[in-house]
Amino acid sequence: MEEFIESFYDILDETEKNEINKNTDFKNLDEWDSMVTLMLIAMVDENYAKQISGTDLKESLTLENLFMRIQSK
Amino acid sequence: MKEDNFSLIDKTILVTGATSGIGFEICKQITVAGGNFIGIGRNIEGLHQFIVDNKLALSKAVKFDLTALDDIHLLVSELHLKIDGFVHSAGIANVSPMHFFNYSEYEKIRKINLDCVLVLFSELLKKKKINKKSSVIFISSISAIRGAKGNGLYAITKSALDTISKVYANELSSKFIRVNTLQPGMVETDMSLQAENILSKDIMDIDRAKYPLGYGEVKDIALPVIFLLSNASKWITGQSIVIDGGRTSIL
Ligand SMILES: NC(=O)c1ccc[n+]([C@@H]2O[C@H](COP(=O)([O-])OP(=O)(O)OC[C@H]3O[C@@H](n4cnc5c(N)ncnc54)[C@H](OP(=O)(O)O)[C@@H]3O)[C@@H](O)[C@H]2O)c1
Repeated sequence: MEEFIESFYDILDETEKNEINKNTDFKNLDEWDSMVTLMLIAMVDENYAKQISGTDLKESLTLENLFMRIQSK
Repeated sequence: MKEDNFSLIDKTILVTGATSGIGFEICKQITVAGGNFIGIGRNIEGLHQFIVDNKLALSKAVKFDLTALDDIHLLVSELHLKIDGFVHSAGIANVSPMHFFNYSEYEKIRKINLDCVLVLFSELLKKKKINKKSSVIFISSISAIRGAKGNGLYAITKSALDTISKVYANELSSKFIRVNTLQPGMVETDMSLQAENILSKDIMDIDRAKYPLGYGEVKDIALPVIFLLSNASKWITGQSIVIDGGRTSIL
């Protein structure tokens, strides 16, 4: 989980580190846009060899929720 | 009898990607236009059934994995006749920003979308399996001419198809072999379904709204392919033609 949060932080440019933790409502970050979406999908593919879908993103409120979904794949 | 310049009677067309989506529809429309096809793909059951159901004695489905570049010469040696046209519709896409460039992913996409055509076309020419006045069509994409996010690797392979088609057109002009590409916008197939699964329906709906005529159907690409295969287009070569329901012509 720590690693996942770190990797998510790495794909961001504008967001402060203290805003990113397991409870972060990531889709409501100011920086969240189509590019960050694609980067997140590609990061999960590279680091975890798993494909996440639009539905996974839609149904995950926090980073922790998303991480759980990735792990259950 | 009146000459029908749009007919494909007595013509045999080699089609890659023939087992699904746009390529499968191209095979169906070749049949409607009176021609025969040799369709290539890995999962040929559906195409084979189509041939059986319609009693197409002169068409066939050939099981072949186009990533096996070293075996393409075998595929060509086994061709029992000379072809009058060649359509490359096999293709795969992925969604990944260039930030995450990955060489093996690049190689995988490039093999199917681009490299196999270079090998296959060269073999067809060397073994003289392609008739004079043949027509060759590569299915490119509007991704080749627009910088869509996440589409980089796919775009590289498609723009390469567009460019190389002009070289072929020039090199083969003395045989009157014509070479063109079509650049479709989003067409409803397995490929667009896959995009919807990755990106979600909401994002696809926003994209769909940018198409003045909506997303395309496989016929919208297959019928222009038939036109390019026929004599009706005998003065068209070295061109890349956008077919996208108006997507790239609006602000
Ligand atoms: N759909 C669109 O929105 C769209 C838009 C622009 C351009 N295009 C282009 O149009 C072409 C056809 O797309 P489509 O939508 O019809 O896609 P599709 O339904 O996914 O069909 C892809 C075809 O490629 C073949 N293929 C993939 N990997 C192969 C391999 N290793 N060996 C042999 N054949 C292989 C598949 O055959 P098997 O699985 O049987 O091997 C299948 O027949 C592609 O080049 C695509 O880039 C599509």
